[in-house]
Amino acid sequence: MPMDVNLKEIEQKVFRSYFHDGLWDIYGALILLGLGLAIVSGLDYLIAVVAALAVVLLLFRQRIVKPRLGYVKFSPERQTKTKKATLIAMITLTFTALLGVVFFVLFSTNSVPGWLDIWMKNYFFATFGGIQALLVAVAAYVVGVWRYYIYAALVFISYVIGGMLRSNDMEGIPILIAGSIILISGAVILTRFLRKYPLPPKEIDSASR
Amino acid sequence: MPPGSERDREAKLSTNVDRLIHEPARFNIMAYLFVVQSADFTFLLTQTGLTWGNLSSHINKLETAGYVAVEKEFIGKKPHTMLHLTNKGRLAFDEYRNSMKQVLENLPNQLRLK
Repeated sequence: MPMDVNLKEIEQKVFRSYFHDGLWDIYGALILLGLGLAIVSGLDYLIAVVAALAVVLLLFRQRIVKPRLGYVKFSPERQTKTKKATLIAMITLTFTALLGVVFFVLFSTNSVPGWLDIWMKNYFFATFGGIQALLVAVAAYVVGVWRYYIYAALVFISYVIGGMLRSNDMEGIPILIAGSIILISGAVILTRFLRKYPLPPKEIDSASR
Repeated sequence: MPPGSERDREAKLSTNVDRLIHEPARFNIMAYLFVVQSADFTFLLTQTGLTWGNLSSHINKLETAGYVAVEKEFIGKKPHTMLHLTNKGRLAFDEYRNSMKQVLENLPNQLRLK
């Protein structure tokens, strides 16, 4: 019955459908795995390698997701919301990066205050994980995908446990486990997406051009 | 039947509804286009679950009525056919929703069957 239709829900459902392909899950998992591997192996460049995979992700979305779901221009209100959320994420990332630079300068010049030294030794992992979890939770709120909240909790817990295992040099293991869980989840979602949304027949593709 | 009777009034209420939009498939198409700025055929196919032929037929009717506009755009380097509701279409959809709301609100809350 037409009057049961909630247009706001339809719009949200449409917007959310563009995040049900699992690719963002896979990318987030790869970042976690990159961080975990960097911690375990000491090879910091692995983080940069994983970040560069963002380019591959974008290509995948263009080639795999959009031809299956179709192209849509969301309403100006939705575009504004997305821009605001992106801005918040960029500000948080910039703040985190600046904080990292400040810490690097303090530690490299042996200028670390006593309280900060103690905090870094005891709570660094939990804080770092907390910031990452916050970013994921913000994404969950903006996009409205509830499983991202679970990912945020998983990220935070893995870093807290990692911090507790620092004395045993096993701090990277919980992060690798969390990354693996999210990777499997993303892979399952991607598989389901590809089955649910096959490529449209050629006559539609050519007719729509 | 005397003029202005209740039966006469109810018949008038039901005929105020836009029959072009009232068809369920076309209503779905209009609803999905209403909540976005524009979208292509594949989007409507996946969201409405209609077949290609069915969708094409309904789009033609809506385009003929001036409710939907079909335009070619370039996305990257590839031409793409995008659909969007015209101002007339958005107004018609809003009026349809309001008239349906009026019809349903005027119905009695409960029918007693003897």
